[in-house]
Amino acid sequence: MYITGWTVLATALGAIPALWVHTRTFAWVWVITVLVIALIDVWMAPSPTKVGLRRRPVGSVRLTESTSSVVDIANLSNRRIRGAVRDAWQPSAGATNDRHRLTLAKGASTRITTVLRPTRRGDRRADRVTIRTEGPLRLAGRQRSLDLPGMVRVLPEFASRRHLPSRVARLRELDGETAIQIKGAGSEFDSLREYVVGDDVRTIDWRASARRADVMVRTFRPERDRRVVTILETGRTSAVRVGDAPRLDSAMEGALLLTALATRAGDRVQVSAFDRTERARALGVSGPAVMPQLAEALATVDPSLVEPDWPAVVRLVQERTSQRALVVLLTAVDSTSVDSGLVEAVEALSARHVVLVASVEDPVESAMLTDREDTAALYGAAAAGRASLEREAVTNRLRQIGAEVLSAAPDDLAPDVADRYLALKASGRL
Amino acid sequence: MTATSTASPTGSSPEYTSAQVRPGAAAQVRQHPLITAAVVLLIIAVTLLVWGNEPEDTTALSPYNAGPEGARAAAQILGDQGVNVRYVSTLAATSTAAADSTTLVIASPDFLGRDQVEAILDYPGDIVFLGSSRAVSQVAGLGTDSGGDYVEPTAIAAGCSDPDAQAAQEVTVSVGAIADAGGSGVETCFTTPDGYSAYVTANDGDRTVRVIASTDIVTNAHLAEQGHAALTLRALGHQPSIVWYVGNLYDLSLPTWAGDGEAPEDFEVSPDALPPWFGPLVFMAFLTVLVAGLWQGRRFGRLVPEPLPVIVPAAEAVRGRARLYRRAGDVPHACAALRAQTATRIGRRLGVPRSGNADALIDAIHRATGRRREDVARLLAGPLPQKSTDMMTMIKELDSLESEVHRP
Repeated sequence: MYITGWTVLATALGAIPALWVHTRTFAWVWVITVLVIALIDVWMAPSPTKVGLRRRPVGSVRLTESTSSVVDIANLSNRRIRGAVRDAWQPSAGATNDRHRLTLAKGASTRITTVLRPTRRGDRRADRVTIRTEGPLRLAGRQRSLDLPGMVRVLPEFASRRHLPSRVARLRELDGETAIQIKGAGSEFDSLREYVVGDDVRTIDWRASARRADVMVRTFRPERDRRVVTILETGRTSAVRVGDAPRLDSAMEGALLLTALATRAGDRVQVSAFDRTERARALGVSGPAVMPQLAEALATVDPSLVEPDWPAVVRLVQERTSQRALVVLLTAVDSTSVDSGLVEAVEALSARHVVLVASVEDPVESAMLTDREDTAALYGAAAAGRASLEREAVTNRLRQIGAEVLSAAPDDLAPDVADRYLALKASGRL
Repeated sequence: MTATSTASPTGSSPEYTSAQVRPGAAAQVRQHPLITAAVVLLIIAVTLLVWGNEPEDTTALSPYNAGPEGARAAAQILGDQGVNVRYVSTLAATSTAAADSTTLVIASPDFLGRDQVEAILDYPGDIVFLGSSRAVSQVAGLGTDSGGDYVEPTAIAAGCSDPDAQAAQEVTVSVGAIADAGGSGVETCFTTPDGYSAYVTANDGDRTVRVIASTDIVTNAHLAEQGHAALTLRALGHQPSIVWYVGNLYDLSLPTWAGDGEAPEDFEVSPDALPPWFGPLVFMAFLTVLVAGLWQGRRFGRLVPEPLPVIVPAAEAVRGRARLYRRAGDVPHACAALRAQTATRIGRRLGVPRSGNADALIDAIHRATGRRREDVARLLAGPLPQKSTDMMTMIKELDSLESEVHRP
């Protein structure tokens, strides 16, 4: 049951006769009469149980993009139904204007469309759908809510995809596919061709030259069909906010860009989100199916407040790949990494694989380091300096083990990881 | 309300979902007898509230006040005796149709201004004041300036020739008694040995002005004592009807008497604070606001909760450490951290290996900047400052050293 603004207006109109009839009893009688008429209107309103609802599946949408939720509405009664419908979603689904006016002739049906612009990654769910049917006097009506399950999967934004074209161009240069002077770098044997002036004499293949009358040189190309294992750490440190997003979101961008790039380069990519157990995985597919699979897998990953189990990560990597691979650990490097077992894990992995440890650094901390405004800022700079030294110590330790270490601001992490991957590829370390 | 069912297959689209039909009103009443009883009680309570919403009168000496300070007992007895009692809330409304058959009762005259008292005394009929004031004493010609004084309650005999007083024989003189009244036509009754009178009458030939100065006599609490009832009922009951007015501070209106004492048919109310329709209009607006509350208070579907993640800013730990340093005033520790940090950065810039000792770095800086080696050594390996002022100096020097190294 509900009343409309007309009821309020009807009550307010009582003020006009109240100018002449100066008693409170008159005011009460007026208001109660209006309310009784409203009740009669409720009684005459069509039943909301005679409204049929059907939700169409929404599917998935990339964060910051918009989609729409569609509900079919049918008038199952033998009267005209006038009223309103609200298709409620949880706030982060970003449903603005979820209320719709409704006028349905007998037996007619219509559809309402609510625009969703989600503000958070993950599965965003629909709440109840509420139906209001208005009485013939428009003073009041009936209201009912019913569960009409619905869900929209919000995929990671992948804002770093704007860095992809430039990195792919660099990859082509490495590959030698572009029409430029530099022949492909890399370490994998590609083909033999005749020597031309300007070629590096070190690339002359004497054995092949002996067989032919000409001097032959070997050409190389970057390795293909290498394995890239990306581990997204979803533990305690990934929940920490850097800027206005958790560290995990920046790491996710890095994983997405690296996967997109490595897939183009012909490498096989596995991604795993891990803290104490595996939260999500994307593996076993190749070609254009990789990115949708990865986005779908990462959509529902959220940080959990537990300490990551690094020995289990080592076991997982060893289980998944028997060949030499590039293992990218997207995590946070700080003084606690020594206790948490990250260093030992990197040590164990480095024995067989190339390890790249990438972490998001906090721009606030960098700003504190150079802040000299007052005494408090000086102490802040000292604390930031101490933290930075501790991090440096851990980083040095990791480098000594043989791992690549990278640390960047949230927005720079993804391109930096991609660049480091290209550099490793160019130098033939994969 | 949440239960759902698939619409009956007779519908054109069997896959439509709709809200389940709830049991009828009679079934619901049977199912929830307690709730029904509560609702019925609530409706009865609201109805009683609506019809019986006359506010309880707490004004002293009001004919509707049943409390100890009120005068309902006196007013009711007078009514039973056939006297027509009319209660008015403003002085402007005290007009009467017949001055020769109506007594004007003015309670609490101490709330009234002198101009109002003067206007009241222009009334040609009998007047009874319940309570006293300086203005009444002066304007009514009681021969005194007394506005009623505190008197220890004492029982006093009439001691005058007024028949009403004699009928009462004895009353308690208490607060409000008028001192030293007297003069032509003025009779003082129930006078204490000190000269305080509880009851004063002034007759100017045509009409009598009576002042029951000790108002306790009239109140519900004391009316039954001694001769209080006799005095009250006789003093007030000289005429077949009464217009009863209780003075209050907010009523600034004046009575308007026609020259012959009869009330004019149509008189100007002045200067009343607010027009008469103002109160009902405000009340109507209040009810409208209540209805608007019903309108806006009914949600169009419930609130939808949002499971929110924990928010921990990354720099929180560093900030906490900075506050610890500051609270402890640990200047050496803070300076050591900053110095080591600067040294690391300079070392990276100049390509000095991290494993190298301090001397190698100092030498490198000496060569790069041309600063004296001792100064660089003092800054990077010397004793740490102990005071915060020294800390600022040191940080300034470290910053300038670093900027020199970084200069191309």
